Amino acid sequence: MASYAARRILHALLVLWAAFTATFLLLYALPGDAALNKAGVGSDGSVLDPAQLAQIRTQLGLDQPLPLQYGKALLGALHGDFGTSVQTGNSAAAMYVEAIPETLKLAGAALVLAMILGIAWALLASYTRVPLLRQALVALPAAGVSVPTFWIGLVLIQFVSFKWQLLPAIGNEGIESLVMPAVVLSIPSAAMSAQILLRSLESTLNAPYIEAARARGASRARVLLRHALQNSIIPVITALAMTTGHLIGGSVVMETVFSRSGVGAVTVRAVNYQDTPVVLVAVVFAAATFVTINFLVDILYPVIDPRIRVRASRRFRLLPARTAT
Amino acid sequence: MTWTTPTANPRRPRGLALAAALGAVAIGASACSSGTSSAPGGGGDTTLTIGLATEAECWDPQQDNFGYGLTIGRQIVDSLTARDGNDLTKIEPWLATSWEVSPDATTYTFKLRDGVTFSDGAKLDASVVKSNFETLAKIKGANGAAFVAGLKEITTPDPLTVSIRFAQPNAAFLQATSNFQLGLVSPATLAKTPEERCSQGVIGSGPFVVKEAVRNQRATLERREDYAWPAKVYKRTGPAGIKTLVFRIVPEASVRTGGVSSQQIDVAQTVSWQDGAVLEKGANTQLLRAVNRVPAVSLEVNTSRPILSEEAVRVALTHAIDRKGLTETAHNGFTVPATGSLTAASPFHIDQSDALRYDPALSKDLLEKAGWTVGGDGIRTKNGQRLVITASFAANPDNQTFLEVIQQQVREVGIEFKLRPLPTTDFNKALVAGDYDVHRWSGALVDADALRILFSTKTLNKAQLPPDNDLEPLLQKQVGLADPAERRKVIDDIQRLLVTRGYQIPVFDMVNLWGASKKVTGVRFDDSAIILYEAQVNG
Repeated sequence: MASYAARRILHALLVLWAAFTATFLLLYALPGDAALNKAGVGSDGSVLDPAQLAQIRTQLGLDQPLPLQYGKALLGALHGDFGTSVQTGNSAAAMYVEAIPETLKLAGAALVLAMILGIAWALLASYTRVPLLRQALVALPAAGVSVPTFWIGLVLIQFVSFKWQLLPAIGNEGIESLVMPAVVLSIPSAAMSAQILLRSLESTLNAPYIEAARARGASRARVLLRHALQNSIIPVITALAMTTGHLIGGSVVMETVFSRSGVGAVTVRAVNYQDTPVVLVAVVFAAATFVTINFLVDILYPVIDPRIRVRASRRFRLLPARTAT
Repeated sequence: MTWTTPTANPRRPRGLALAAALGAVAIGASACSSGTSSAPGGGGDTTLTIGLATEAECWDPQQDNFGYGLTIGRQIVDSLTARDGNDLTKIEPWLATSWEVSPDATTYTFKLRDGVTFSDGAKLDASVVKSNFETLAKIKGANGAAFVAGLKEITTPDPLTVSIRFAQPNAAFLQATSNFQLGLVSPATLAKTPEERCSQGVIGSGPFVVKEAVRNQRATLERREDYAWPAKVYKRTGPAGIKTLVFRIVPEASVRTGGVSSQQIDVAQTVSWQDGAVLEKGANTQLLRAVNRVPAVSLEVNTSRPILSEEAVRVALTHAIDRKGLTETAHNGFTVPATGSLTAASPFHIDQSDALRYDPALSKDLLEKAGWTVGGDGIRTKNGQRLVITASFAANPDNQTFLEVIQQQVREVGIEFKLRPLPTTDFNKALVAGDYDVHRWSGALVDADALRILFSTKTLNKAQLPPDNDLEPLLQKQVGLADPAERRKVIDDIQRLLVTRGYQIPVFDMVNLWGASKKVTGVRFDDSAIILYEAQVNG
């Protein structure tokens, strides 16, 4: 188990490095740079004066060769210093970290909601016996995955906030401002977990031990909740872990639609501005979150399902290089 | 979360209950951690909530490219002079009570108002003005630095007199002193680095002071109760009409509009052309128009390209555009068809509607005479070359829409008009390299010197003219004329030349739409900057 964990950590570090490097190269390869944005388009006078542009480039270190720029950035990042934001002159890391709590609130609430809604939906669909209703319940999550969240968000704002004046459409203040964005953000993840759990429940419910439970006279509800659910939930947990990516990505959209501050807003502006230090912080943070959650889930499997514990220990003796989750 | 059926007796699943409880805790906890004041309503008290489209990168009106200075910045800094809203050619006193301009337009001497203080208590005097301009001139890439370019020397004969001398004539400087870019900041701000000013904001002598600012979310401004030095152009004296201004960042246009309609915000920036009519007709809402006073939104023509080096083609393109039709189709009629090189609201505008009239017959005639004949697909050709003009522009739906209208319109006379949308940085890069046939541009400077900056071969050279062109001497001459009437004549000639020779193809006068609750009165605009000093919320 210890060597397994060590391997996973090494793997995680590799992912972080790769994400950092890919982002750096991508931003470097893009035409234009932050100096052009800093010099500014539109202000009539000093704009686009080549000499001044060159000065700003030198000041930002953008005139140095790529390996040197990259080396400096990586070395800094290893020390936790991502440099200063080109836009604001603030520390890039501080600018991003400041915004994290708001996003965490939103993503956390959405994750919990997604879990509750997803599981409840799947159980309800499995439990329903009326064919038409059941079909509808089974089909709806597919729609939930495919409808774009910004659209749901905008429609919801129009009715809930503007028409009925129930919840605020704008800002971060108070729990009431969190409700709509969290609900909307949870929809794709909830729909995905519902789909997965439904499929998983279907196969579990055909298993012989379920037959046995039924034969002993257990009610349908009891069979579903006591016997089938625990054995069907593993894929859902994997799916929810993957969902972190959705939630971070989705929070960018939700923060725009619902006028919230958070890392989404910071990231979007940084990307538009080619503010490399801030974008690097954002990518490394997102990758770190993703990697950590996947790691935790990997560790969690054996706790939930003893069969994995047995299988894993055997497998590791045979296949030490297992990397896939 | 109701999970009951009439048939079975549902035992509440413990797992679910636990999850639900956890969820409630998580949400409850987050509510506690954000336990600040609830959302401010747009009510009858003296708080005004303004929805802005975007957060400014830099919280310094002297440095920022438009975002901050046009909105929050204008409320917190005062300028030496102010523009009269009615008589556009007039510059009125503000922090300067009077001034003198040397006949060669190189030296400006301002007498300062006594008793003006910054919100940190520092006094405004000649040395503060001096170090404001000297510092600004050294900040690379600062928006305001352009106005003090060529600064030679600033002297302070006495504490309330400041004399600013330029190496070359700079007739535009007086207009410039009314801009937010030359709004004055306190010595404490001047002691900071440009980066610190950007990230922490500045201290000014304006009617409002920033109390709290959260990036990408909101800024709260409180009025200064001891404010007593508004510009003469205002009817109001003393402190501002509203106690608290709350600027919120609301990126979605439909949410800003809906926010005004539903009274969640009082004033909204950048209302879309579609929503303009809705707010105009709304029972509780009004539409405010900030008419720009700068060069019109134009196609700037690269005269060094083979096709566009022909004056006939440039002029034909000018007459092939139905500007009225365009503003109606693309902007719901909210913008104004261009009637000159500068917008009709510019203090230097001359009416050139005849030179800009929609006359496809004339266009066809000009092209025909220049040897461009209609080919099989309706596009003209000459010596095997098709009449193709590509428009480069910063990619956004607004630009795309109006250029598509031009595309359709000019096709009628046999010009193929291709669109080349570019991300902002690529667009900037293309401009630096002169890599365009025509590109979409307007100006930002209210003074007609904007035309020199745009078209002089020594500055941006938008038309990519050779150094010995007919326009250059005039552009240089006007900036050296301190006498307004004399200067005016030269500027008139410049505008005529730009349009008749097709160096610039003006299309429409930009109008920024703002939405507001009907309860709000007294909102002013100077060019596209909003001024809330006189604003009030009634009822």
